[in-house]
Amino acid sequence: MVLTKTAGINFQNITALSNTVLGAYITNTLWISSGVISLSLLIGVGCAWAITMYDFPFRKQLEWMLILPLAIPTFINGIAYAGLTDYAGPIRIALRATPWLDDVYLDIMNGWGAIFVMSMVLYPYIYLTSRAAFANQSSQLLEASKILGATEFQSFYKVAVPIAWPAIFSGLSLVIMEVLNDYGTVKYFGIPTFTTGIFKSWLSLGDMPSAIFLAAILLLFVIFILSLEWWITRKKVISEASSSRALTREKIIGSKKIIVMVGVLSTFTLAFIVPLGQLLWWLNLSFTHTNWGNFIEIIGNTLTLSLYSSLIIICMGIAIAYAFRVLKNLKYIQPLSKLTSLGYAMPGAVIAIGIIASILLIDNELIYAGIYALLFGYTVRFFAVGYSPIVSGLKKNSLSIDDAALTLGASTFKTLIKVHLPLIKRSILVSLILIFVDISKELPITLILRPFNFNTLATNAYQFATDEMAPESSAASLLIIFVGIIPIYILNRSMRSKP
Amino acid sequence: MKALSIENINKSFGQTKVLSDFNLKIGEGQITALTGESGSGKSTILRLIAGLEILDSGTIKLDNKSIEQISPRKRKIGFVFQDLALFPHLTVKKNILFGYNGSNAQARLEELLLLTNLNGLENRYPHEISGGQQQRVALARALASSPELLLMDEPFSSLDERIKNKVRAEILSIIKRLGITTIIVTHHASDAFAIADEVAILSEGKLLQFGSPSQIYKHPNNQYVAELFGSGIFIPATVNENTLNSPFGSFKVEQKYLPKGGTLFIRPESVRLGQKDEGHIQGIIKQKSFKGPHDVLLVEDHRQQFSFELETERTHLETGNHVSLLFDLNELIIFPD
Amino acid sequence: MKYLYLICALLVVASCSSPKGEKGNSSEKEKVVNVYSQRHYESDNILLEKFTEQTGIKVNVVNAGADELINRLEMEGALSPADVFITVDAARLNRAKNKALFQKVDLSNSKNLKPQLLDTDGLWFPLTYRARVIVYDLKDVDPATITTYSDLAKPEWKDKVVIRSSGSGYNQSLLAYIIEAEGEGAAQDWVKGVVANMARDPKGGDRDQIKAIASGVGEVSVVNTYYLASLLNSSNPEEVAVGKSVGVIFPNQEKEGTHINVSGAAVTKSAPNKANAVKLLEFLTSEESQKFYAANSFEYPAHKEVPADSTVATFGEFKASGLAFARDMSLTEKAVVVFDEGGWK
Repeated sequence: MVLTKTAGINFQNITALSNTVLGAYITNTLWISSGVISLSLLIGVGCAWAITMYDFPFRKQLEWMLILPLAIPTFINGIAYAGLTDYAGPIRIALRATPWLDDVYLDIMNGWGAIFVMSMVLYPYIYLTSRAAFANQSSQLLEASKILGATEFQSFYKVAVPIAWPAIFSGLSLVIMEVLNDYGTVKYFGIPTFTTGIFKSWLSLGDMPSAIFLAAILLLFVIFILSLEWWITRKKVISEASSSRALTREKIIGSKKIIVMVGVLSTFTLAFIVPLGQLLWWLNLSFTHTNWGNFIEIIGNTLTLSLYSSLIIICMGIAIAYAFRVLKNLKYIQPLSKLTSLGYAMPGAVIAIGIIASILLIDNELIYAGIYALLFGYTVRFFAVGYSPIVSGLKKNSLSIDDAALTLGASTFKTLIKVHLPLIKRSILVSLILIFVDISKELPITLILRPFNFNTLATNAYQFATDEMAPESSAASLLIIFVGIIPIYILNRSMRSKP
Repeated sequence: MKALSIENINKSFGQTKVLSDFNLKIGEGQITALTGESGSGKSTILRLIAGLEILDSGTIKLDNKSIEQISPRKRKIGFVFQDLALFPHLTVKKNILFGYNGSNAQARLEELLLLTNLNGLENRYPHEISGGQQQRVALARALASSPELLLMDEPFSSLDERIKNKVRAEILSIIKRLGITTIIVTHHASDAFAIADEVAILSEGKLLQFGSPSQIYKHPNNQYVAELFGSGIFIPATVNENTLNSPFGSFKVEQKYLPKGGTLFIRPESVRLGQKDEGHIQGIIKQKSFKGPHDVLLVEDHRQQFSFELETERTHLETGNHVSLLFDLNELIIFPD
Repeated sequence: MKYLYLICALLVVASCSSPKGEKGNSSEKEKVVNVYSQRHYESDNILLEKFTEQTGIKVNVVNAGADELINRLEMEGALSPADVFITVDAARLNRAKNKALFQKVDLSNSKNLKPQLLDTDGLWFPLTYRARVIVYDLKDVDPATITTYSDLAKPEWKDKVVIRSSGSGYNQSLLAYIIEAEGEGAAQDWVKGVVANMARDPKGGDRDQIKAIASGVGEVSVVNTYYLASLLNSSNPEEVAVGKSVGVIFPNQEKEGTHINVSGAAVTKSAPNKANAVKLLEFLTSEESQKFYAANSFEYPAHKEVPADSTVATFGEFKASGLAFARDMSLTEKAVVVFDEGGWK
């Protein structure tokens, strides 16, 4: 859509770009993404393993609490950590009061800090998918590996991880996309990446061709990741152990218990308690001059948008996924459906401008008719998030079920309504919640496409944050997190109970 | 209850030709088993009849009317799937009545429950009942709308050996009571023998033989069919007039029209123990293994090793003993080269 | 399944409670004015409410970044519902102006506004401005040693400068100002000098620079008066202490004057409610509103007669530069390139 807006490409600018900053964009983007990939894999897979395999105090609570950081917008986490460690933050205040340590300077606003801050809110994607995969693995495989003399660590990386790899990778690819389209955190932390480069070329230089050039490179990279995912999961022949015995969790003791508990608890503390604490401290500072009356409407707006768009995406997702299932000759173009994930990797502002362009092409009245443009934008951006759980849910229904319904005289539509939907309701719930949480955090599309006098929790938090008034933004940030926690709790319960 | 006629049908999947000019006629009210190895095209035929796959060419007639243009939804064909394909989220009752559009569903349900002996289970879910019960639910569901033809794809393959015979008998009695024309795909010859009025044997998309089980057992068209249906041993032989020359020497046979050369096929029941020196085969028992009513003996004469099934309970034959075996010459089967 | 019911219930509740954003209505009868604004401050909202009280004209606002709003205006073209466009940066106003997104209107109040802030073609009108000043550590720095922005590039400030990234619009404007005043060569040297003097990689917002000085990471920085003033009024007492630890220098007083960022408003070319738009601009530039800005927004009012009346007044009087740098958009674009070439992250 954006592409249609350009006629020619100015190679002079692109050459200048490649001479000066392109190298830095590439290095930084690769560095930050590989850092986040490693750290969130380590945390996500590690926690999933600990929660699945071991029994320790508070395991049941931690199992779902470890997902909670998903509710924290990356940008907010960045601000919270920066605020925590800056001169006026609690750590430095405490240090200043301590002799010997009064001159310590903490700096989180660098590449390592960005990696940390992003991993802390993104690891739950990997945690969720790999936990589900570990839980579905046959306990016999691990027992076999044990009997064959493998140490526990060997069983982990030689048996459990390779089998769970397709699931882990599907979580990982979401993480990669999130990192690639992050704008707020890296800009605030002063790290030039591809996405900041796109914005700089496009907005500061008014140089659409260079912006498109950069966006195209980013897209190629994303397509590469998606093909990799497709290629990895294509060979997935490992069936889930449906009837095998449930895993007996090992009751751990001694140093092992300490290591596991310290690991899991410190993850939860750093990823959730600490930023939440910082936001609460800010809320305490700003409580008296926060305009609480507005929030009822703002929460209403946020909920309405999230719910409507989730439902639109889910209906579309079901329709498309089911069409691919029913129309067998569409199978050959099925890998193309992966392309819808591109929307997830595109910076939101680019999508928003593309949406305006295409709405103007279709019907210029539409954009002024309330929240339709926003719903359109969210659908483009988050379709992939909702689509993939639905596809994998449908895949689990055996094909003979369709045949059975057909020979029993049911229409294709009746089969969908009476057979498939009830069977994939759990997947639908998962996708609903993921979209819901993502949309309640969404910022750039909302900012650009929202109608007049319309605020969501995210725009409210952003308004104060860009004005460098972090304490005042804490009320909205906390509400975003709170709005996200409830569905996440439900998500966990639904994923834990067997169908 | 209608007769089915399959005429010159062809079906390919991509480059693979699954069926070529296949023909089959199935009589009204008959139970027919389609059997063959996996990949022989037997399941494809079933799916073509049901309309789950589309014919490349040829025609399928039910009661002398072509059905290939009719939507699978309206063919009035009941289908029992290999994995049963019961809807896991629906109760037995809702599964059975899923496709039933007629009046008085409750009465129909009770009728079907009675027929399939599922009374009292109607509110259970599929995972709450036994494998045999699931089988009967699948059957009741397929029968609910009174189809004109019943198709069953490997209906017994998922069942435990222990309950298989019982379930098979129950299903057979239900079908017999209804008198519905039925086609059952199975790769177990024993299933085919146990339930079918007629058996069609397929290999690589072609019909090798079609007939009653006993016909096929006694007069297999070729070695493949012979081997598929029951055990036996093959012995190369030539025939001259009424004399059969085999590695065990020559002996007289009464059968006429024998081909000149071929392979001799001997069913286990055509072999019995003879007195010393009078047998067709003399040899040493190299190995003896227990197999229910029979023992399996590996006998070696000075040329070759042969495996025979024999009732040896009362003879106290052991490994290493000398044994003499006689063939029932009237039941020998000879395949031409 | 019960969750699905729960969701349905939530949906019903959500639909009932959906006053939501109104659509920008272009019907004259309804007495509205539609505003695309980069200014998203609580004080602005109060001012707009006052306008509605006085005139009965309802104000519809979309807040977003200036560049995004310009892009949106451009794409919507003649169909745009926007009547008024407001940003906090003259360069952005001029970019929109050069894209022919504004229309000329006569404003009776324009004669009361500071003449050096006015657009030469009268296509947009200044509301307030902020000064880009140098702040220094009160403990370690003698303010007499710095009089110009160029002083920050001198070797004696090695490892003592903390400053925002080149992605910041404020820095881009500042460099455009330097290019305009002193030429591209001088600007390149300045960038190289400052990059060599940086105590750390550029990062964070204006407040973070001041905090870095308080932390002892650096000793001098370039920040916007608006952020220093809001820091001094922070709800966090520690931040107030941070703000008090630095002093303010208005650079280039002997030369063109201190670089400023002008916040301004314009009537869009396709304004469906032009009359109301003009009324809004008259209101915002009136003495009364300007006094309100002066007292509530930590900015300098554009009105000739209205003095600064908030924390910024304590920073003292100063000579502000003109807006020549903002007129030529290519200067800002050049600035981005000079930043990139000089290795300013």
